[in-house]
Amino acid sequence: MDHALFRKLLTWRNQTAKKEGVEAYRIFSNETMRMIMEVGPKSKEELIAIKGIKEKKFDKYGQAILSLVNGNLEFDREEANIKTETDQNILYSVGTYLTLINKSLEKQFARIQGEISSLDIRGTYLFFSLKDKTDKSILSCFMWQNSYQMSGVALAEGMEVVVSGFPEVHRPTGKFTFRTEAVELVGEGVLKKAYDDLKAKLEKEGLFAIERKRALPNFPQRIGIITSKEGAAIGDFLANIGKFGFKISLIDSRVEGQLAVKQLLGAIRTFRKKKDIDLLVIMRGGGSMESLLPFNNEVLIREIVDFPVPVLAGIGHEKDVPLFALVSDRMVSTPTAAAKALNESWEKVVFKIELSQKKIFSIFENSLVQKQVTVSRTLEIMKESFNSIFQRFERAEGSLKQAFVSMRLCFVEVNKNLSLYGANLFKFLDGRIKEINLSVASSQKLLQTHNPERQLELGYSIVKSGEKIVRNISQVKKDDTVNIKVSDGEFDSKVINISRH
Amino acid sequence: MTNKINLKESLKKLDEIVNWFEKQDEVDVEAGLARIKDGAELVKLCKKRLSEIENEFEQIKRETGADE
Repeated sequence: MDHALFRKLLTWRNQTAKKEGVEAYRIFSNETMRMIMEVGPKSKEELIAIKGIKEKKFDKYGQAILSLVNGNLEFDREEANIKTETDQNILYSVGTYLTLINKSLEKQFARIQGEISSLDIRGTYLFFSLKDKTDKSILSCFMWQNSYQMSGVALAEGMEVVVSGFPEVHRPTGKFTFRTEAVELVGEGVLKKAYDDLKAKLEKEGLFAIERKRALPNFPQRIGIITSKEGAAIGDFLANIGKFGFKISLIDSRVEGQLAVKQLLGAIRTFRKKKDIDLLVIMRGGGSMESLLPFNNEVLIREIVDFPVPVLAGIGHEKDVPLFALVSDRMVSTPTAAAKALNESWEKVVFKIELSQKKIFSIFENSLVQKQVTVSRTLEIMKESFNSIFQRFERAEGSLKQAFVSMRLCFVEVNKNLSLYGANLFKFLDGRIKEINLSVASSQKLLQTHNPERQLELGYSIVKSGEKIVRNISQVKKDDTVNIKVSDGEFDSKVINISRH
Repeated sequence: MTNKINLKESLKKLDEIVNWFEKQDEVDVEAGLARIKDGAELVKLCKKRLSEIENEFEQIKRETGADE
């Protein structure tokens, strides 16, 4: 919870209540206040969606709430004006005095190492005391249950720990206490044991299983990134990501130390709620087991187990792979490698397109060549059969051949130019195809006109003596038998008389 | 989003054309011509999508658990 904001909201409610002379809960109930904190409304619609806030209340308080939640400067200034110094001329109520004291104590945020000397875990919170090993002094600590769970450490008496938090006077008891936000284990050996224990536990649950891992999506576009915007990781990542029109959304988060867990969790949950990414990337540079502590935190690890889209972990490490990376769908050890993993499918497709293009054009070109050969061969056969009778036939054949050659050349050229994709390419292609079609059509017509078979229909006939076509009278003698072919058949005939023109 | 669908669909269509050509024992010139034209158009489309398109970058806020 954002304590600073919560305090601001409470202060605002009290002031407003006082101004209107009503009880504070008449302004907003505690439940409504809690919802406001949880939702963090950014617009009128979001605010009105909260139970207990209708149009009427919105008109009255809406703008003030929105300004507070979204960090309006005016209210911040008001906040800053609240004094943390006591004023001897004022008579304080206990509550107001404690508010004032706690406010100045909150600035004493610290990490403290000590040994747990007593432990009292109750429903939603716990008390424990931390003992100094050398001078035996004691610090009483208070911790909310959810902060405790988030820390992923099971406390026990006699355990050496580091707590992070700030001091405060616990209002219900009036006792000085250390409000613990996070607790972590200390010592290489202890950390290693905790790591091994959790690793064994997760492994047993099958969370590292390869079958669980989802492939990174092909052509990912909307990339969610969680990392520190101050770190080197984001720079390395952006330097290596290809220009494929990625839409990259970054949520800045601490990535080091136990306190990073809350921010990382918040970031992951934000992406889960927004539902508008194809892939989630969580990364940071390398570090020791201690600095990678958040990535061995059970609560954080479980948060990505059922994350709606694949999770890519780019976390540098020395020896023990962070358990978070083992549970992720794919792990690489540097932000650079993470960027390259995203480029993969895009780069592959570039080759695939080139290949497809080559295949299509070469197959078609080959088939054109084949057609050309077939036509030539057919013409050759026809020519042999009816050799010298129909000279013009050769001309038609020539132009048909030419048509196929130029069609093929045209495709070779189109294929070559495709990589340049000039604007006129398709106009050119169209024009050429029309031209070629015309040329083929006229060649066909010409062929048809001069088809020897057609000539026979017109009344001409082919006379053969033996296997030879009779072209002049010197090829026959009187009483020779000749074969005469007409359009629908043939017959034999005898030479009776020969006369020269 | 639309770019992405186009690329995936274009690739699928291109694949279909390649498959068609690969399956023909003898390519029919008319049918082949029509497909070549489609194929060339798809290649052009895909290449355009794959030519350098600048990435967009934005930083967004954590919505929950913004505990400092």
